[in-house]
Amino acid sequence: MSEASSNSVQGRYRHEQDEKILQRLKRYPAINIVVVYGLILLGLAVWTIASRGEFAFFTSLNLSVLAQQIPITAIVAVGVGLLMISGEFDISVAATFTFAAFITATLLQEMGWPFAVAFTAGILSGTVIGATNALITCWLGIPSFIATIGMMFFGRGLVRWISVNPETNLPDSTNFFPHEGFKAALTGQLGGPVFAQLIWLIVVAYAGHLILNRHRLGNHMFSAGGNAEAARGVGVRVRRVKLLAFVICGATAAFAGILQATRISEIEPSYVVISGLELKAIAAVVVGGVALAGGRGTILGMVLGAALIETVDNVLVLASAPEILFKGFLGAIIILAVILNTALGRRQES
Amino acid sequence: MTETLKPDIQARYRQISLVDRIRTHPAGPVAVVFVVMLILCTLYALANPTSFYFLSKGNASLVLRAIPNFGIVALGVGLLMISGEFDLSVGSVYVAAPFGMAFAYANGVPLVWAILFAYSIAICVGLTNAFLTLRFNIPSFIVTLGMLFIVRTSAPYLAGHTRSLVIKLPPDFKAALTKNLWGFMPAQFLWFIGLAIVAYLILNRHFLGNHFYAAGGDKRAARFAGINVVWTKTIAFVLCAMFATTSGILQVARSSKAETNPQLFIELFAVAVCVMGGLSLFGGRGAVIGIVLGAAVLQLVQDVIILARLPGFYLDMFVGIAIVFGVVMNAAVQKRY
Repeated sequence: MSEASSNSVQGRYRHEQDEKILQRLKRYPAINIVVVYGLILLGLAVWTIASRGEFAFFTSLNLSVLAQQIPITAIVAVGVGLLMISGEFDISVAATFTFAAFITATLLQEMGWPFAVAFTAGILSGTVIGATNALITCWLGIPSFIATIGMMFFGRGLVRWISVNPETNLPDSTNFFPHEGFKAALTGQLGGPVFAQLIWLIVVAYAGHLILNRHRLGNHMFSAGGNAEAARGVGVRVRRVKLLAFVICGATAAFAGILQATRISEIEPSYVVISGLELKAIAAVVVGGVALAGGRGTILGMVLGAALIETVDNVLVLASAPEILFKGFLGAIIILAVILNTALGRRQES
Repeated sequence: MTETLKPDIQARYRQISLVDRIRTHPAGPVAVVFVVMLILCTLYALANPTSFYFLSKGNASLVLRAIPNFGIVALGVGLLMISGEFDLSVGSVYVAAPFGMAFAYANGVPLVWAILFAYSIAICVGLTNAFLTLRFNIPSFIVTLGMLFIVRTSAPYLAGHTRSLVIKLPPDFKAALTKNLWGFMPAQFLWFIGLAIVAYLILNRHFLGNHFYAAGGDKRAARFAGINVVWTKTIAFVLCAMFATTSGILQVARSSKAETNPQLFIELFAVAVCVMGGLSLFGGRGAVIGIVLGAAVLQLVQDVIILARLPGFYLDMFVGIAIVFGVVMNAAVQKRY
């Protein structure tokens, strides 16, 4: 008797699952970005074919440029996205990105430390900046976007300090040439348009996915971002969860910075100011469907959001549009994505 | 009975001494910092008259010329912050609106109309900020961050991607805005004081100021008291953009050219000035004198760094620390009183 009833319950459950698969697909936060990015790629393919080679998007050269650039932005976006899910912002990522690369370069080339140690020190500098952000935000009770604006200025100071050329007394760029083996391991070409940083992105994204969906910490992040009071009520240590999210964000930004330095063999101090990396990361994350106030988002969305942002940048360059137009586009896309996200979130709740 | 109480009450009133009034005033801490810095700099300058030119007329004129630049923008940002919202797009309005003026003037539009054109740009940006923030109910700092980058693209576009547009303004206009009086007092500073008084009058002597404080302090309570929070905040957004435009026009009048894309980060400095000046990040608390003193402290620090020939990164670090420290201080003071 009991077996039969449980069978029928299972059957009904399965039936309902089948019925709701479309709805579940709709509810999956990354589905929008998958569709949008797919349409954009389709449009670009049509444009490439229609222009008979004048618009060189789907060429192996251009795709290899994209394949080198997208993972670096996407790694930063994963960190920023995990943090945003936990309900906080980090606007200091560009400073972390550059400072960590400078730490690694200085230790490796001026101090003569082994690469592995210098690399670890670079990542550690990122985690220290992240932890400081967390201490200021969670323990002193300052809104994170203000605390990390403070850290952004402080980080700019740090970058200018570490990059000062003793001869001219001005910030100066540094060449970065790690050992060939490490360069190959970090950013080497694996064949065709596949570079090592893509593997690193997959590693980081999968780790992020495991944390977010297969580990207690992910649950705690969602609840801390969704409703901090309720999370505290069920025993989540919100401040510690946010501290971990800040540290992860700092570490990913530092890692991406070192990857970038290895890729272009140079570190430019003015990158902190002109890159707009923090804006890019926030845009990628909100385009990828992460709720601005926290509590909702997927890793796939963040990665595809970063890919979309970099693709648009690339298309603007190909269409020889001025660089500043890209920043304007970023601003518009952030506002639009946040409005849509908020509207979607409200509809789901009701 | 009443006679025995009277001295008691009088004593209690007298207990609110000057020290307590400074401690409880939003601008109290920054006033103390300002005075201490001024005294220290003066003493150091008197001790080292040959190497530290703090007290020279040239230096005074330099500092007083630099204060209004951030200060006027900060006045607007401060009014808005008191109403409980942020505006990061001032950095682009500061560039785009005066550029619009210069562009129109260079193309033969009379100066008055060119200035009105600049302010109409500001009003449009302010209204857009207000609409996006209040209609869709999303955080103002994200909206204005987006607007910052959107509006920032407009000036280089109009200018055909040149770095700046040189214009020849009428000498009377230039003199009225930027003349150096008595060798050390630039007219900009007097305009700054004038605008600060205007902001003070709006905030403390007009019903609008009451509404700003109420909308920023407790939105629901303000609504129940019959205040139209949306309109109040819209006005604050527009005023903020107009203050930024004024500062930009002064800058154009000073240098006779309109930059199209200076990497100034004036929006962040303005927030820093407001926070240092004792304004609450969450709205509802603050005073105009705090903004003025905050701008003065920021420029004093920059001046000391230049005069002492310290490396430039100290300023970045100082601003970073000052923002965080200012917010912590404000929160602590607010909690205590």
